[in-house]
Order: sequence, then C-alpha cells, then structure tokens
Amino acid sequence: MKRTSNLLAGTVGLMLAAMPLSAWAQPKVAITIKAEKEVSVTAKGKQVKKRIAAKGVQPGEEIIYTLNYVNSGTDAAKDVIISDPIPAGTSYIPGSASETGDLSFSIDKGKTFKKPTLLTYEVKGSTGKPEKKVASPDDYTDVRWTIPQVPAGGKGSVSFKVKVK
Amino acid sequence: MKRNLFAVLALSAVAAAAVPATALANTSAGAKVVNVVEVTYSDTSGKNTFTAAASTTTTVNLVKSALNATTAPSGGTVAGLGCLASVDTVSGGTVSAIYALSATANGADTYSLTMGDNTPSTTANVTDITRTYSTLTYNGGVEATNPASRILGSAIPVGVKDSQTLLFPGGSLDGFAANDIVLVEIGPVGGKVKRAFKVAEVFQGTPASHANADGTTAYTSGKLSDTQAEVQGYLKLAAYENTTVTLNGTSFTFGGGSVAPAFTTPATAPTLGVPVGEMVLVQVDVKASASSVTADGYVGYTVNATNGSNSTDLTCTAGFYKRSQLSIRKEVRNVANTTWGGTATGNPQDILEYRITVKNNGGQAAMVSIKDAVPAYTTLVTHNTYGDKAGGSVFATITDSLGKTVAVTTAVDADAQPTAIKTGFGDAAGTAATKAINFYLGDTSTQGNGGTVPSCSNGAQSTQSACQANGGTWLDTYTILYQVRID
Repeated sequence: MKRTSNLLAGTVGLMLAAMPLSAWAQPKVAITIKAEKEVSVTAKGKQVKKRIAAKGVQPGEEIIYTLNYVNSGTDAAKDVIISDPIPAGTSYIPGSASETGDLSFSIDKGKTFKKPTLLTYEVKGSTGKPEKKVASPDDYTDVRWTIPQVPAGGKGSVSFKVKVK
Repeated sequence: MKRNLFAVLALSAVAAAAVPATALANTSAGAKVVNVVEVTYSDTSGKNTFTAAASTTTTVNLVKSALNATTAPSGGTVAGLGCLASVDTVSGGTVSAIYALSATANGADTYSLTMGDNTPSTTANVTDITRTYSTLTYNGGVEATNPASRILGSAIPVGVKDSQTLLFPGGSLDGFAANDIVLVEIGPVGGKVKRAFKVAEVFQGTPASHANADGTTAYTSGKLSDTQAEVQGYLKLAAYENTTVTLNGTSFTFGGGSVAPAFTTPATAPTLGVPVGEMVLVQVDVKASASSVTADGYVGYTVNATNGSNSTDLTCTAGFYKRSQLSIRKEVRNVANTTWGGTATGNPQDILEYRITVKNNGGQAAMVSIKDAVPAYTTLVTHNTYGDKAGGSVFATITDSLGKTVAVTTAVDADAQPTAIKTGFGDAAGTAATKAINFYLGDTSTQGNGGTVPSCSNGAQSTQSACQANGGTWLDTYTILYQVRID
C-alpha cells in the first residue's frame, strides 16, 4: 500500500517537472485501478480479514475494485466522470459502490445511466400489456460516478465489488 | 404465538422455492475478468474534454473437482457406474471391461491414475493376477496402457453459436482437442441428460485486453473504447458414432449413438453454466488363474483417478475364472456280458473290457493325461475289434463328446486325428501285465503330452458359454476303451 502511494507521488512529481512554465493552467487527471479480494487470515489466534491482490479468483469469489484518481494538473478538472463497465463473467454486488459524487448505473451497456430505483425495463405481462420492472443489480452493465469538480492536486477514490459467476 | 410461527414457516417455504436452479453458475478456469475504467473531465472553460483509462485483469482459477466414473455410453447418454457383468473365463484368461471417466471441473486438470485390488478385497481363489488399464480413443483404439496420468479438458459454456457450437470465455479451452469425447448437459428442466459428442474443432479465442493494463500505474491517457474486445472460444461438436468391439468373446457397443448436436433446439439445448467435460474411455483387463478346485476365482479391482484433492474410485469385480472340475471313472465288463460295473468276473482266456471316462464340468484344464497299466494276470489285447493299423498295433480307442474316435496303437506313431481339434493320443509300453499304458487327451495333445480338456469343437472359444454362443460343441467328455485277456 505504502509502496503504491510512493509510486503515485513519484509519477506526479515527474509530470509536474515536465510541464512547460509558460503553459496555460490545465487539469490532468490520472487514474489507477486495483483488483483485490478479501481473505481470512489468523493473526495472534484471531481471525481477521485481509485484502490481497486478486490475480486469480475462484468462481463465486468477490473482487473489490478500487479506482484512485488524482488531478496532477495546475487547474481544476470539471465534470469528472468515472465510467466502469461491469466486467464480463461477473455481477455487481448490490450496495457495494461508494456513494461519492453522483452514483448511477446502466442496464444498457452505458447508453443511459440512472439511479437504481429509476432503472426499469419493460416485459410483457400476463395480460399482454407491457409492465415496468425495476432492474436487479444482476442486470447492471455499467457503474458511473460523476464528480462536479476535482481541484488541482485533489485526489480521491471510489470502489465497488463484483461476484465472479 | 402459534399463528405467528406458522406464518414464518410459510414464508421460508416460499423463499426456498424462489431459489433459482442456476445458483451454482460457474465460470471457466482461465477466463479473464478484465475491468477497464475511464475518467473523462474538462478544463474550467468547459471547452476541452480529456480522458484517461486504466485496466486490471483477474484470472479465474481452477476449482478442482473429482472425475465421474460411469459405464461407457452406448445410446449416447451416461448415468451412473454399473459394473459390467462377470463372465465365464478360462483359468489364465483375461476379463475385459470398458468404463468412462469424465471431468466435472471448471477447467482442464491432470488426473493421476492407478490400479490395484479393491478394499475390502473381493479377490478369491486366484493366483498370477495381472491388472491392466488402458485409456482408449473415441473408437476404441488404445491411447496408452497403464498411463500414470491423463489431462482432461473441462470448461463452462456461456452461449450457443449455432446448432453444433458452444461458446466459452476467450482462452479458457485448454485440454481440448479434436476427436475428444465431451459430455454436454442438454434438455429441458426436469429432463436433463448428459450426452456424449465428439469434438470436431477447438477455437481458443482471446480474452479482452486494454493497453493500460497493469492496475498500478496512474494512467493519464487512453479511453474505454481502446479495449480489445473478447473473442470467445468455441467447441464445434459432432455426432459421436457407436463402435462395436469384441469383449470377452462377445460384442460390446459404445459411443454417442450417432446423435448430432442440436443446441439451438429448445428440447436439446445445453445447460449454460454447467461444465462441458471431456470423457475418456478406460479399458480394464484382468488376467488370473483359478487356484481352487472347489470354487471359481474372482478378482476385485479399483482404478483410482485423483487430481491431488479429489479422488474417484472405479471399483468392480471380474470373474468367473473357471476352476477345473475333472472327474475320472473306470469301469469293467466281461465282453460276454453287456453290463458295465465296478467289478466283473471271468474265466482264464475270457476278455475283459475297461472303460475310462474323463469329464471336466469346469474350466479348461491343460496337459490332461491318463496313466494306467495292464492289470496283473492279464495281457493287453491288440488287433482287436477296435481295428488294425499298419505299422502299429491298435489296442484302444479314445472318443470325444461329439463321437469322434481315434485308434490308439502301442507304437509311438502319431495317430491320425479326425479333425484339427485333436482328440487324443496313447501308447502302451508292452502287452504284458503291469506294463504302462498312457493316454493324452484333448485339443493340442501330442504323442507324449496331454492337451486341453474341455475345448470347443470350432477351436476358438475357451469357455462353454462362448463356445455354445458361437455354435460349437463343448468337448468336455472323453471315453477310453481297451481290452485285456485273463491269463
């Protein structure tokens, strides 16, 4: 963890040094993605949960995705949208996405995004008339966070979990 | 209170019924979970929009699973393991059976194979046991004999490409090759069966990927649409024709019943999320000799397949190694009399006739010879009613179950045999009292060594059931006649 943040800081430093002095102020947002899973380990006779890098997972296991963003530019970044399609072979775990900024989901592969309660689709009901149904988290295809502004030097992270089918 | 309890019970019953049948849905080992994230933003003027993207890849691991041991399919579907019926087998002969082992994991795995006695052992009344197992190709050819291990492919289908082709996550089809046999679960809910097909083509496909793929670097460039989409792999399957081989002297048919896949037809659609596992045919050959004269022999065997975590035992018993049940009877009569018995009376110069009957009600015995001697106070009669022969003195006849008779001379002269299946030979050291008389009975006998009793009149079959099934006569009884004159 510490190593990762050092690396990040190093990268930021390098970028600042590379900026020409006469440039107009400009935002520069960098993003990383980290896949981890939770394992139970026994430390001092106590069972504790620990997060480790998810290089390999078993079907049924959960993957925790953490998305770190940082604005290493000289100006604020506006209308920052972080879009993440739910990976194939997994399903979104309800309630796992962090409530940062404006959180919304898509059930049509990113064409439209809505709040979970507004995500509806139509099926033909028993009477033959179309009926509206609220989408279940299994149907989510994309997750999106909209953050109005990230100031220069600002950073943050969002996360969500999926279950491997 | 009582009422509340009832309500709770009713609720849980509803909840249980609502659990979907595909709750155990699974993903193939080797499948890649590729997550690409994109960030878009604009500068404060709102006029310039930028993007950056990063990705991380997680590989789905193998979930080890035991092999299924079953009877080889014949109509194309498999259920459980039924040991092939024990069959009459000649002592020293081999009992063979063909079974199948099929994979149930979410990916290819290596299974170590061993064979030994079963526990508790059902082996009895046998010696010189040899247990052999061979993996077979789809049409019964031997792939390997006593292989230490075998890799079996297995993967979980995610879709149907066409009537013969199943789709899998890109890059998850390790362990499959053309002409493998695979078991696919097909059919509607309540009528699902595992059906055997033959692999016609394997296409590995490729998982999705993205250039910014290490998961740790803070990327300031790239976008979601740079993602290289997944190319799904596929298995194109074909009808698996039946093959008939000869096993234990009779025909044995196995295969997929030549049923072509029809994955786009609802009644024969595959169950997605259930492994498509490779099936390998295993032939078991057990050789043993019957060591008891009071009971037939059996050999228990277990073929064990293990992936290090899960173990499968294919346990059966082979039999019956037929024990020999030779009986011998010697009777006498005065030729003036017609009745055979244990005793007879006669005057000097009367002729006594001896009848020796050798019968084997059990399995084949080899090297069957009869030692006799000219009785005291008598002289062996030659050139008698049994006929005469140039170069030798006929003194006896040997007749088999079919009535084929061979004349026996005192001289060693390779008596002519009525058919290629030899009836027997004999000799006499002389005609005087106490001189040795020998008879060598059965097929493959020679002038000096006994042969096989019983044998089949058509030569090829070594058990009574196989002989009769092939229209032969089981030659299990030999009758010897000779005469002596009371001195």
